[in-house]
Amino acid sequence: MEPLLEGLAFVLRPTTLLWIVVGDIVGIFIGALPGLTATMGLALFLPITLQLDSLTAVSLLLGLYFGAVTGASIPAVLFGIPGNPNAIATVFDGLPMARKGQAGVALGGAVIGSFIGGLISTAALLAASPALARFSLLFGPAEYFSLAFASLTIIASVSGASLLRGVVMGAVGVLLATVGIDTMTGIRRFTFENPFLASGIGLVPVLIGMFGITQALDDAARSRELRQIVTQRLGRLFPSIRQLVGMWRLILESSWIGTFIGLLPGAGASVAVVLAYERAKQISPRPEEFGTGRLEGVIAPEVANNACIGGGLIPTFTLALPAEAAAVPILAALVIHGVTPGPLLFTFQPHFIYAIVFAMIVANLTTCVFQLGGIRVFVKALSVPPPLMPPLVILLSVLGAYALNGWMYDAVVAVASGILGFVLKRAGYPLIPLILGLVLGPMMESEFRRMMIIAGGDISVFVTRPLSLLLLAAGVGSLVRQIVHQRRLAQRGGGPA
Amino acid sequence: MTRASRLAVAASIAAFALLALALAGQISSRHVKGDPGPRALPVAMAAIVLAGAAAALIDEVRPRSAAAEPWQQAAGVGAGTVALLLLLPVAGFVASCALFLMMMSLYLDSRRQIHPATRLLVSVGVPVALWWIFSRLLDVALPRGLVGP
Repeated sequence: MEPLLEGLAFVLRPTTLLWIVVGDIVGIFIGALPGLTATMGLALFLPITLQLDSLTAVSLLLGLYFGAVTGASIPAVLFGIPGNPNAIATVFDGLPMARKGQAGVALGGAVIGSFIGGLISTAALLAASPALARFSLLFGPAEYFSLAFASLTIIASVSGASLLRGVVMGAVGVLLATVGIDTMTGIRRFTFENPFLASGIGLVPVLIGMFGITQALDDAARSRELRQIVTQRLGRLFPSIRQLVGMWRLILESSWIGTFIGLLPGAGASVAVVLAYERAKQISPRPEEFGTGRLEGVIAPEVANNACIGGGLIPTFTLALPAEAAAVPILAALVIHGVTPGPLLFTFQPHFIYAIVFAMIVANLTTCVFQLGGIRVFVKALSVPPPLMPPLVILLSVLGAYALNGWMYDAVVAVASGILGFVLKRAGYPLIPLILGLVLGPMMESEFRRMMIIAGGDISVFVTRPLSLLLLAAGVGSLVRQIVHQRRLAQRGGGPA
Repeated sequence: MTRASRLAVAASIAAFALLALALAGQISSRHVKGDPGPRALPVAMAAIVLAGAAAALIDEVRPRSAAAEPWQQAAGVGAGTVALLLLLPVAGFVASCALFLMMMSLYLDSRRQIHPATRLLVSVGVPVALWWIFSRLLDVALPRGLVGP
């Protein structure tokens, strides 16, 4: 009991609370600016923490982390640009909700969902750290490959009207992910002696381009139709308690997905949000309405991405293994301040762990309060005259891509991806499988090859390990189910191939 | 999109896959025992894309009713965006973005709904505000151009 109270007392100190609030506000600001990621913000703030004690430093970074992940929902809902990859799936229904005059409900739902997801994953961090750390050790290269395969095939099969086009786009994404230097042999692939291509095709510029610029071009093309959409009444600003209570199962499942995926190093929140979105679709009585502005389509990914924070910190604290890129600066802060992460941290410094858990709860709460308080200000952005919206979104997208590394190359990639995305979208090719292929491609390839080396070239190892087999079966099952579904549609009256 | 345009997109994807397959074939196959090597995945993916694009081509040949969607305005905005990229290193961030916003808002606002003062304020104010936030607050170096920010 004493370490628990010691941890609580520490977090309730005015200076700690002040730094958490500073982290929150800066984080929301960073998350709301497309192209500025939580990782970037945490890295920029790491030097500032040198002046603070270890617990205050980590509390500040946690505030910033929660703020940035939650803040990314703002541009996702208002402009259709995910502030960072964690908000990919928030766009799917967030933007249509904004266009139906429900931006306030979407943003309010996103914040409340993020708050609940963050709280549940924090509880998971506290309650299940030792056990979950042991379970995550069951994941070897075969399971990681199978997880990536299952995620990609599930998304490819459900993200568009045509399974064929979904699979093509997923494969294009994985193919693009192979551009650059092969990490296992150092051999260059598709680089054409270009130093920028040697570092690969950046995910964030492609993401900014395919979401921000593609959407802006689409809006520009339909600018006459959009005239009334943005100027209509905004409606109420929060979902009702009844709506939220009705989503209890969705919230719990999304929290579980986020915490579990967050726990797996390399999987990342962008996988968790897409899986949570698809799960929301599966359990919804009206799955066909997803993508047209369903609140569940906003709540599920927002619960999952904040749940990923707690999940991702479990291996960071228990195994010194940052599951997400954003956990790296937090791990660095621990090490810089002389704290050794690992199982012994739980044994010898329990007050430290409790203080972190309380800091997460406070950071989560203050993020919720500040973002909810500022919703009206953010929603006012919708009063921008419609003809100004596409150029503004393009400008923010170009700036966001450029700001990543200060390279024009990234801005060029974003614009090229945007134009390409517009053409592909118009031709009926879904973009999500392409982006997920780009995200998961490196993991799929490295884990597959690592497992093959371990197994001496015996490919059967992927089906002889139960967990790997289960994941592969889920992926193949999704493809088969979609084939059957499309055959039935075609028999009824000429569905897509 | 017309059937011809959809056919052109499918043919372009097939051509891209064919080129990728040819280039992937030239990747060194050096690897340790058991490792399929750095060539395997690009070859496999290019083959899947090629097969899929070929199937999509066949699928596009089938007659199908599709509503024509407008795209001309998007082509103009796309061209403007490419011009912005070319202008940024020359004119700097503020000037090129101000020009981009001004030209694009004029282009999309054919009925002149936006008040000229609002247009001018947004076109100049937004790039200046963004420049201040990124350069001064976040210490991100934006393109300066030949004459300044």
